[in-house]
Amino acid sequence: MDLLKGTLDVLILRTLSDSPSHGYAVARAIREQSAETLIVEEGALYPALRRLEKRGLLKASWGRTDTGREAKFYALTAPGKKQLKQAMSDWDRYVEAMGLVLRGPQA
Amino acid sequence: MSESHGRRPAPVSTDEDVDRELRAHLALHAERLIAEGVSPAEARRKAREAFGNLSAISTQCRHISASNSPWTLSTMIDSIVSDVRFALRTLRRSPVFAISAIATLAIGIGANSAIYSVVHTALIRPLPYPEADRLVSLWERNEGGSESAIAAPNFFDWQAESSSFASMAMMSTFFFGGRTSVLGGEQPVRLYVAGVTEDFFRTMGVMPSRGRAFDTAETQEGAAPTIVVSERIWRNLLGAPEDLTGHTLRVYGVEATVIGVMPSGFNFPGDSDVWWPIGLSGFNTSRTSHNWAAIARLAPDVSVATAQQELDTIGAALKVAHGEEIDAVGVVVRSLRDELVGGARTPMILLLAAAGLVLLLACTNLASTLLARGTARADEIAVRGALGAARGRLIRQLFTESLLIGGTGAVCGLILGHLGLTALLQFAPGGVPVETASVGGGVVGFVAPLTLLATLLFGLVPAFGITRGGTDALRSGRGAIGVGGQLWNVLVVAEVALAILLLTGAGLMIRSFWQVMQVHTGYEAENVLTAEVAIPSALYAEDGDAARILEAMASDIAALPGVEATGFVNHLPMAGLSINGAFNVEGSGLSNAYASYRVTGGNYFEAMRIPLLEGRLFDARDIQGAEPVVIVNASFAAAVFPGESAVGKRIGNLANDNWIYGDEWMRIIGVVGDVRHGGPERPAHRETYVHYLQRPYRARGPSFAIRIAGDPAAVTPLIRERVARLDDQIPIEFKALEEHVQAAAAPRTFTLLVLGVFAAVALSLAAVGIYGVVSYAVARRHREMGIRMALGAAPRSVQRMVIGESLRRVGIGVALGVGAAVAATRLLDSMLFEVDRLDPVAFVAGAVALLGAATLASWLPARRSARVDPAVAIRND
Repeated sequence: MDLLKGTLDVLILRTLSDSPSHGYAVARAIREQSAETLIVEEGALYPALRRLEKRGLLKASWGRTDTGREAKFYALTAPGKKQLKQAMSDWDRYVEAMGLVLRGPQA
Repeated sequence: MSESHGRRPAPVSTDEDVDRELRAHLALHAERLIAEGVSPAEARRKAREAFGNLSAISTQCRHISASNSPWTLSTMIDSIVSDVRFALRTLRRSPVFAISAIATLAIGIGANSAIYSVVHTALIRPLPYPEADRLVSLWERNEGGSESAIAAPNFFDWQAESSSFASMAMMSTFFFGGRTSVLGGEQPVRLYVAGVTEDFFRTMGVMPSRGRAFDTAETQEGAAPTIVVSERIWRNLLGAPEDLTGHTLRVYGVEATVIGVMPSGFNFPGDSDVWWPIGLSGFNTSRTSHNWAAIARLAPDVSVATAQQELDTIGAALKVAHGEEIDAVGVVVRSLRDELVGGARTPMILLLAAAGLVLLLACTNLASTLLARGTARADEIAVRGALGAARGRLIRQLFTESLLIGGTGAVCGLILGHLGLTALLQFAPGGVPVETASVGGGVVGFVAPLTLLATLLFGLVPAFGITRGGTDALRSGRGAIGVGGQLWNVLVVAEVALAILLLTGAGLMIRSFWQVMQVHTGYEAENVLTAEVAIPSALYAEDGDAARILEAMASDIAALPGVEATGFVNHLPMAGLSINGAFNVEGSGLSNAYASYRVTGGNYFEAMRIPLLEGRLFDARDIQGAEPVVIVNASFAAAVFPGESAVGKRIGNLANDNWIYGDEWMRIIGVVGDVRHGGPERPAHRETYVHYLQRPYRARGPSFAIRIAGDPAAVTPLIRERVARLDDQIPIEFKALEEHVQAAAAPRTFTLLVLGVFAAVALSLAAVGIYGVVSYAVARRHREMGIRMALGAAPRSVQRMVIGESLRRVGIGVALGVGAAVAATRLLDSMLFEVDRLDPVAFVAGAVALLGAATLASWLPARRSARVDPAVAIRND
């Protein structure tokens, strides 16, 4: 399924919380970890990465992959870790709230 | 994945940084594919494909990273471009929404720009004469307030005694300035020849661009004939000579010297091509011979009201001085624009108002469509808001989307408006000076603010409605789902009310039109062909010669196969004005009543099927030298001889014709049915018919009425050939009699047509709006429906519930619309014909049409609710 807009940021933060990584790897990780359900439009990842970097949630540096290719690596900053925690709890509340409405007492 | 950090220097610029990062991504993806066994070329292609729009993303990345840099014009443009790209992508994903939104707006704007172009040209744009707002037309006002053309002596008295005018001139009446044969080119042509007095050009403020205007001597009785011609005549008929010396044209049968050429585009009054000094033949001294129109230029600082006051005083004094010899009791002073626009002002304002309603309806519809769409995206937007997307940013995106729709809609609307205008002008009744109307600068100046307003209206309301939810919506667990629900109901109610307003108006116009069509005009226009001919006095100087050629034409045409009856008259019904005037009744002196004066020949009454009510029609006895006879219509007989038979009575000096035929009585031999000569909506007047052999003076440009069994197209060439055989110098023009009737009804047909189209558009917009709202409600409550049915509700009752809810809203709209229509039909009142403005049929029909459309629009999506499979509906959540 298509990714809900706006949820990409939190997925990126979550993926990078395991280890610093480059864009292509983040895209693959999201895809594989969601059992191929969430497919990130690869291009859409980069503006998101840059936005997060701008907001100080990520830091970036150039490096090389294990195949020797040049790539830009992103890692979570301390505010990034805090934001991830906040977003995850927001998300839980949101899912809960949605559940209340959709399976709620009406009908 | 392993990594090795920091060996390479960081890129020097943001651009380079973005480029390198994105290239790296593609390379990594391709590398992986190659490892899986894909060929290198194919791998690179696939990587590019998976990535999406590379250049758009790279621009976006650059903005984000460069947004610390000062806000320059180029970054601003870039950000607008990216907003537009985003909006385009969004719209491309829902083409039905985009197309219907743009079409809705285009219709609204198209209708407005077309109607506004006409209104602007007719009512707002200055007339093409210098200081045209100082020009007024003058008419005589009679007892009872009716207006008539001017008798020459009255005009000269006004001119001598008034001081309100810089100059004034008499001329042929705008509509009566009948066409005359003008010879001089290769073929005789029929043109409008305007008779004017000396000051005409000075009054208009337009002088000949070549040659000169008339001097005083040239406008005196008996002077050698001179004429001024239009630019197109100078070009087409004279061959555009540099020097006018020696150029003449034959007008009214005499050789007239061309002394001047008017500037291109000047054809006032009406569509004149030749200006002729009316003083040449002297002026009738009767103060009841209403022959002329007048144009005057107000003196500086004099208002229409002041001039009106002065002329009324002069007019009243004239009435006192001349008593029975004058029938004018006052003078009408009217601005030239009002004169030209006349009765068209009300319909124009009405149509503009109707077009405004259509646009309002279009905007309402768009607002509800956008709201529906926005609500469907509310979850997504709420999450994005929660995750930190700025509210301003979200609004900007939605606004860009609306703006894009607005812009595209406006462009399509202007194109549609242009096409619409072309159609409008085709149907527009004559008289209104709108031929030069175009969807031009003024219209764009009108449409641009309109579009902006519309865009704000439908773009921002939903935008705020959607984003107001924000994080509160998430926390409350209700999301943004319910946002705008109330607003939505209001929109549907408004749409319905607007549509009812237009439907009722159109209904009233249709009813009026129907009534007009039911009017018995007094003759049968079907299967009658008319042929307008002119007997040039140059070739037939004597009235007797003219009569002989007319007689020959009448008998030749009557003998043609397929011709049932034929006759002729000097002025056909509904084809312009007629000659009229006072008359004497034997034994009671001058009647102060009016009667029109028609000269007929052949079997005119039979051809027109005007019934004979009493006495006899003209026959072979009625020739020159025999007792002069006259036929009157029923209105004449009833008004002049109430309670007794008119047949056998004698009347005289019809339309002041004593000066031609001497002081002789005419015996009434028959009474015929009334004919509505002024059009179906004007009651018949008193009418007298004389025979051309006894009264040949006004029979030189008659129209034949030819009743034909079968195809008129088969007969026209035969008639043309017969007439040419008699004299190939006689011009002839064919027209179906019904065309005259249609032309007389044209203003009404025009208004009806436009209003009808608007009402149909309004009805479909309202239906689409209702459909959209119900569809969305059904989708939203999919699960509720499923549960209801799982609990045993019959599919039909669920369906009924959905329709019922929708119709409740529609009902409120209908009630409001009817209420508004009761007030608004006041505007229509003057245009209705024998229909009350609160006509129940029109009101009920409008409401029924809308309720029918609303029921259909609710039923279609409601059917879906009944087809909900309870199991699927519940599981889907």
